[in-house]
Amino acid sequence: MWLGQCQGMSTEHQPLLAIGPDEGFVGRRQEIDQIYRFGLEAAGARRHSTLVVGRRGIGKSEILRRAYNRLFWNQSRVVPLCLTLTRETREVVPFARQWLATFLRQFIGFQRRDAALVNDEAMPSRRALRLAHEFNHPWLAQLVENFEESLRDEDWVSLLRNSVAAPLLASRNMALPVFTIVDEFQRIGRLNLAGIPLTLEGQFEFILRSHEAPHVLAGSSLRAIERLLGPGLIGRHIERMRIDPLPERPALRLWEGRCRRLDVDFDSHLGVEVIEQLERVPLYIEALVRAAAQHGVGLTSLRNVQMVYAHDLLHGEIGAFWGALFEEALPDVSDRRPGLEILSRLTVDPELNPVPWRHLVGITGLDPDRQQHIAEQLEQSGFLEIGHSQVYPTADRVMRDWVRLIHGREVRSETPSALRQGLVRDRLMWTSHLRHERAQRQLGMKVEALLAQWDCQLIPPELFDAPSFRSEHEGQLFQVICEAVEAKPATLMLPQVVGVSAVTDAPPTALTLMAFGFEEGRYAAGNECVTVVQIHRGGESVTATAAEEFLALVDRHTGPTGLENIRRWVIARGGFTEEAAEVLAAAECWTSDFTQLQILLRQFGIRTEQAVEQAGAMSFHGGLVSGEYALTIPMEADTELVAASAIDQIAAQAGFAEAARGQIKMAVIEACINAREHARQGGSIGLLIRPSDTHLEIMVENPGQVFDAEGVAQPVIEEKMGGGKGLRDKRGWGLKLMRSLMDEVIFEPCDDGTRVRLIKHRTPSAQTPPAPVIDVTES
Amino acid sequence: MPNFEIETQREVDVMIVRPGGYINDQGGMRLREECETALAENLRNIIIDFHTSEHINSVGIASIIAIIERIDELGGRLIFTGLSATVREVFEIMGITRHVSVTEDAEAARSLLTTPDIPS
Repeated sequence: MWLGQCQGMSTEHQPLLAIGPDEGFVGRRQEIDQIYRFGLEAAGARRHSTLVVGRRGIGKSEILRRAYNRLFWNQSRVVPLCLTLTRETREVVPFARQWLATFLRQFIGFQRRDAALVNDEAMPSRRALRLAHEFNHPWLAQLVENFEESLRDEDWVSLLRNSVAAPLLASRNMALPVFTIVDEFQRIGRLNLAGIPLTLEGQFEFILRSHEAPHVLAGSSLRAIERLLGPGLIGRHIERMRIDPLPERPALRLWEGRCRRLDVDFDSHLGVEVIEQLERVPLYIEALVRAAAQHGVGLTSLRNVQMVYAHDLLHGEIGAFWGALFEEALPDVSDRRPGLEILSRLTVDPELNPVPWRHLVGITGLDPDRQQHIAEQLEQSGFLEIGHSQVYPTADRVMRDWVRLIHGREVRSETPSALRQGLVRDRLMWTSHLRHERAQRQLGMKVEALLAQWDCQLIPPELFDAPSFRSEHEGQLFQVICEAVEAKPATLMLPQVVGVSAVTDAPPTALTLMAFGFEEGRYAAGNECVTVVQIHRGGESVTATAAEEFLALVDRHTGPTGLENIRRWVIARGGFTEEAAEVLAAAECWTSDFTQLQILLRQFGIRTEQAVEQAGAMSFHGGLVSGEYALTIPMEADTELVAASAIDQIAAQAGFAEAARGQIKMAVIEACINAREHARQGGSIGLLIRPSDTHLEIMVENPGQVFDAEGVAQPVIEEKMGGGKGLRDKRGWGLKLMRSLMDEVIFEPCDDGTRVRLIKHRTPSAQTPPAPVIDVTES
Repeated sequence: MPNFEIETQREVDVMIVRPGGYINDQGGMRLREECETALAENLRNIIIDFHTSEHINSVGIASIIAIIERIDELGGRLIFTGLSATVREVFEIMGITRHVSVTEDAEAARSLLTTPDIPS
């Protein structure tokens, strides 16, 4: 018996739609809450439809079914429906029949709270259609009569329309709106519409535009669904929700829990490598553990893990999973070999670069139309994504490994044993690289946490001068050095830091961070400063060339900010060559070795676990993500200006023009004020800033009550004036300003409160105009 | 935190107010107080010069709406000048520019005061 407790239900209910056991389902409360809330919002007729996208195996279907269960048992304001398009549904009549029959069973099942009716998926459709006559609503009987008439007349257009529009019809005829979840929606693209004069776009467009019967459409490929519905609907009438892989901790919990449950020996120290290799996708984690249990192999070494993994890809559950999807995508056997060739070409590149169509033509030798048809079929099953002139590989590493093995076996005729050995070798090397990167990331997190705590403290200057520190303390014990440093006067004032980000184009051997802030904590133009830190983790000394490259990197990154107050700091485990020390000293750079860094970390009380904890304190800020910036501001008056000022610098660096930056600053100020007014006392406001090639996204997150943006009335100036209204009545403009000044404003619940996402697109007017071309030709 | 400062300049029949810094709830209240004082002194024409106001927020603007309303009640004239592009856009979004005149600088505002107000 499934207990609803994990969904916030207080009583025990019969599970609907065969949801799995709770023990195998972790870390998805937020996603279920979100879809549940979408359902409740349908009651106010103010809910757009939503496209839920997440890669294969990530747990979308389970999330949707659990949200449906909760909507079925825990509320009575909307009628929930949950349909799954199956791989067998390819012809119009069975599709329409299944859709309408499921609608009737679930619609009537909800009215009667009849779980058995909902769960009777084997009920013949004729019997399901007869249910309409037992239910005392003429519109329902009419719906079924129309359907049967279309069937008799072989009017397939009406038949499809009658079935897919049933939820909208129900919403219009009942006091209760209908909220419809459609899983595996992209399969609708496989319907055989030969000879039927309709487009799916047209069928769904009027339903989704109406907002009267909101839908959640779920699938694994955004591009495939965009292609089905047309570009006009998504974005304007359909919101997007992405389901990501499990966060690290729930993924580890799942791995260890399944190992214990299936009595598989495991080494908990390998957990991070295992879940990262399996992309933190529940289906893969569970399959690997089951395979280990089945073969009696302990997951106690990386070698064992890789052996089980390679075997499962070729002969086990993961292999069967992708094999079934591949066969579903390409039912015509003659398409499979070229399909494998396309996938092999796409997945061989670890950088995941897209491949132009014309290159694929040379590989498969097919005519472009057939090749496009195969690629589109593969796209619908989540194997690849199609762009305008090129094809994109999927980021799913496990799927890519599967393609490698199957292509090797079926096309290159390699032996399974050789294929497994090759994969095991590569994955062991990859794991070693992963460990190195993880160590680098942890070090970065420590320095990030250190910078984030800088707030005008006074520090002994020798902690930033490696050569003199080394000459004074070489050979001394760490404790002795610490005591000597503490005894010295602390005269160097650190800046106040309000945001830290990682620099993307730094050399791979070093990690580079940028910290924005203010000197002496005074928030005025001229006091803004940037600290750029580069950390060399390798044992070799930093050379003069590396030092000069660092100085050039700093100029490149700080130039666009227009700031003059730039502090540069190089930290090196292996110290500095004499030449490098001279170069850095001439540029007035701070230099530190790892002993100095350790003393600083100690003085600020930063340990690895704490650094990771701090980095993960905000749900969206999982440590150092290249190119992202994170700020935390206290819930105090005017601190929104600190955020606005830092974001202005980031936007300037990202190339946004002054006018757009003014709009962004104003929207950020309003978002912070809104966050403060709706937040729980004593918390802080978290901001994450993500510049990208297409837009700038700012997330503002506050703990406390969830802000209901849809319930806010549109303010009108004339209504705010007159009639003895007080000052408070003249307020309430924040939301309107945010929506007017930004291109997209999205409110959503987060772990412990509300998150607002402010998005500014890079339109030509939003970007800094290029420098004027100066004609230097001689006249 | 940044300070809010306010300068006033009284002329024969007009007061020029120059708020400096962040017009938040406190800044808005100060601005409103200065305007109320001028109105109590029978100065019915007020020019607010925003060119030294770096930032504003919607809570501060609520006070500005109260000022507009009050001057309107008393039959005076309110002119905004020195608006940055963003603040001007914000006032347009809110509909404030339907209720006040906007000029480029204080000189243009003074000239405008010499022309009769055309009721909308």
